[in-house]
Amino acid sequence: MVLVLSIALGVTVTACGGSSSTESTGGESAESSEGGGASESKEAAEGSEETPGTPVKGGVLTFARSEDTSPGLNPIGLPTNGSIFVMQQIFDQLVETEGDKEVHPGLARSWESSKDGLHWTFHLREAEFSNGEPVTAEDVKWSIECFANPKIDVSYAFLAESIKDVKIDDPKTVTIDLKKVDAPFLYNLAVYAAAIRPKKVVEEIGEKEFAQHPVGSGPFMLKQMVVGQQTSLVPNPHYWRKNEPYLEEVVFQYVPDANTRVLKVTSGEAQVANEIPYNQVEQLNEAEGLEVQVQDTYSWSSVFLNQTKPPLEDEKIRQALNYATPKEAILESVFHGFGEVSNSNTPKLKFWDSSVQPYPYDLEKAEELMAESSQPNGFKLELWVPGGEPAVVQTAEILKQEWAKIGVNVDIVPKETSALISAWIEGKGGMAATWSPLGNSSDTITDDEIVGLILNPDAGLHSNGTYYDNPKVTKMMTEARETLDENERAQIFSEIQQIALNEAPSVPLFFTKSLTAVHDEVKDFSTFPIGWWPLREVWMEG
Amino acid sequence: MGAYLLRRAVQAIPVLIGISLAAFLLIHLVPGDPARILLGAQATPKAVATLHEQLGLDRPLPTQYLNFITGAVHFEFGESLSQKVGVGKLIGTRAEVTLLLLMMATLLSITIAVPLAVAAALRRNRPVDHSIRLFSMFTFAMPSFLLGLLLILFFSLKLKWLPTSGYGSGFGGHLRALILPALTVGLYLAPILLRTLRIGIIDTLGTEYIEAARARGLARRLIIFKHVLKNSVIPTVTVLGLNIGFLLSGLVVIENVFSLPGLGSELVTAIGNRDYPTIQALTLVFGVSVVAINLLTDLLYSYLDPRVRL
Repeated sequence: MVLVLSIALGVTVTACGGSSSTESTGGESAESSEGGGASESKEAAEGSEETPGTPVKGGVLTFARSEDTSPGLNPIGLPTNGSIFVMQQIFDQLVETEGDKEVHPGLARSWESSKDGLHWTFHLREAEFSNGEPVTAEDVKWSIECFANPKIDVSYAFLAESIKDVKIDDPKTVTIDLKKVDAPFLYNLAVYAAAIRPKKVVEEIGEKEFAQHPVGSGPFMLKQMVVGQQTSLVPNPHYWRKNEPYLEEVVFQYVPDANTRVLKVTSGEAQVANEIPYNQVEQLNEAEGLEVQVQDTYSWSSVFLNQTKPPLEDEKIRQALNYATPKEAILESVFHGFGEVSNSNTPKLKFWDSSVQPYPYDLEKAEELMAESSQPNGFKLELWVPGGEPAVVQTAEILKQEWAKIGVNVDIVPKETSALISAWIEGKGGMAATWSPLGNSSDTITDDEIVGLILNPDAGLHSNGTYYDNPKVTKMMTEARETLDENERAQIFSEIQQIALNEAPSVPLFFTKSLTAVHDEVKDFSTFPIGWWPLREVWMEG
Repeated sequence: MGAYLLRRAVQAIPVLIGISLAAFLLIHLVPGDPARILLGAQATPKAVATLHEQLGLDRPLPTQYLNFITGAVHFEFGESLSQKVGVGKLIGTRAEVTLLLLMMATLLSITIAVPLAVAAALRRNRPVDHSIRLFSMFTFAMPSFLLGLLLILFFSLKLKWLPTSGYGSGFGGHLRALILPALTVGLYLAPILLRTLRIGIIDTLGTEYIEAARARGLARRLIIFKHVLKNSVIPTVTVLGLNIGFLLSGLVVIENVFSLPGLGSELVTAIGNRDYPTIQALTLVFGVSVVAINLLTDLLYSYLDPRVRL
């Protein structure tokens, strides 16, 4: 019934420009498709590669997912990607990130900052939570304060440490004052932990209960969550983008086994399956009616080198290891070509510089460097790998063969992942370590967070266990943070990228791709590099 | 009988304390910090310290163990570190899946094993016996994930009779969803039962009382089912009891392949997350179950063979 009606309506929907800041004709709720529809502009107008066809309402999307929605759906707490990616469908932030590297309006329809960059004023749009209550300036103030409080938001408060105070100017305007200039501040507001939550509800039922019964202003709301099995979402009838979402229901089924995910999507029990194994992409693409989407991610893979362990303090040796690594060959043989050879110690974030040259595979150069190094006769290198990750172990095997050619005798030590990472960060691991690329990923689209964690010895992770410490680079990071001009920031990060690549605290391997099988009838589905999917745009044909 | 049960229950207490202490010490000795795992790669030392305090991990180990034991006595296992729900509730929902699966698998394996064992024993060293042995060797030797995938390919993808994976909804849905996993486990379990039962039957067939029964002209069917089977089944019951105890926690692979939220996969996840309360509670549950299954096996002995006095 609803479906027929909306097809009729759909024809009248025209795509006109000026999308993201379009004010919705607030107040009226879109209970069903007869809501905003006709007079509303379509959001996707700015996208150039839109699939032809007009979105229609209806359809249940079953998504076979590698991760479980755990632990609950409260943006404040200790969520995993399993829950964060679902939360992104339920909650809004003041600003949002999409597939590109820009910040887009979210609950704030616009904003401006003072010249000195210390005062940020946000103009809120008319929006309602899924319980029908309006999103107020009070909710915004309280939510941002929760986000910035390290006692409440244990994991991500560090992204908000520059916040001094949040002020309500009027019921639709909020100003955030900063202690110091913080260039990535706006980007950090797009992180899931900065979601705007209804103060009244959280205070009434408590943080713990809220994780089981989340209320947000995003496109979807929670229908049911069965831990270890599935989570289903239905449209939020009060959502402010009046046309969206199109789907009638989204069901995330937790399917941890990769082969089973493939079978689920092949059999048609699911229309989408993520984390498709590299070696099954081709076979899936040959199947009728579905395709594997290969998309960029902010994940990457590296072999980290602990430079406090001799002889790795010798830069020449670290560079030699880089030259002796046949990245293309590993990419082809282990990852079936799904990835890009990396030219950086950090992922392809906003200020990533594509012009920096990656280390070529050059054994002669590597031998030369070894001859000049402190260990011209080679040495023994203990490399820790997660034993349960076949692709990582295979990579290590290839490195063992290749590095033997320059006299580096690799001893591969398989470890359990949690034990490996904990020991490694504390400097109690092997001389080198590598783990699943999915273990490395950025929460923000600017480089500040990750570059800090990977290259700043003072950020608490000992430069991700490499103990890399270049005071000049550390100083440049602070400088980048305090510089508002984005061109200048790009310049600084490019320079950091180049310096760090030369000094080689790690052997960068690849920027990884997300592999998602999607049925043909599912339209406008994509995976953002940060990991989640803009399901509000997704619709189903037929 | 009552006295026997009481004595066994008392004997179980030191066993369970031993198990819980060993589990507690082992998991705390393994490197890996739950706070760091929960916080992810970007965990700052300050955040790790805050979380240690919030989770009570900054307290000395003996205190943590005592808290756990005091709670366990009251069936209070605290809250899962990684999943933020009561451990009791967490285990309860998952135990249902595993128990249902094991029950179905046991039934299926008995249904498969008993007729085959009888057939093989009665036609010992004949083609029937050989082919049954070949079949059982085949399903036993095949890794369960592979067998599971093959079953999915055939019954779900080709014939479209059953769902590929998941737990279904409603009791009927659960049963339907569990057919393939139960068959996979059943096909693994059946050969074990088949072998012991076949040997048992062959032994019993050679005894004098069976000879006597035959001489008295009792119906063959009656001899086999009433006299032979009942007397041959005891070693098989032992083997079955041991295997069920093991499978309670050992179904990880099957649970993974079929996306079933059971106890085995929960244990693996909990270990990966260093979710101490969940690991401790699960170990205790497994310990209690194994003790209970052994007890049940012993009780079954005395039913099957009245000469066994408890």
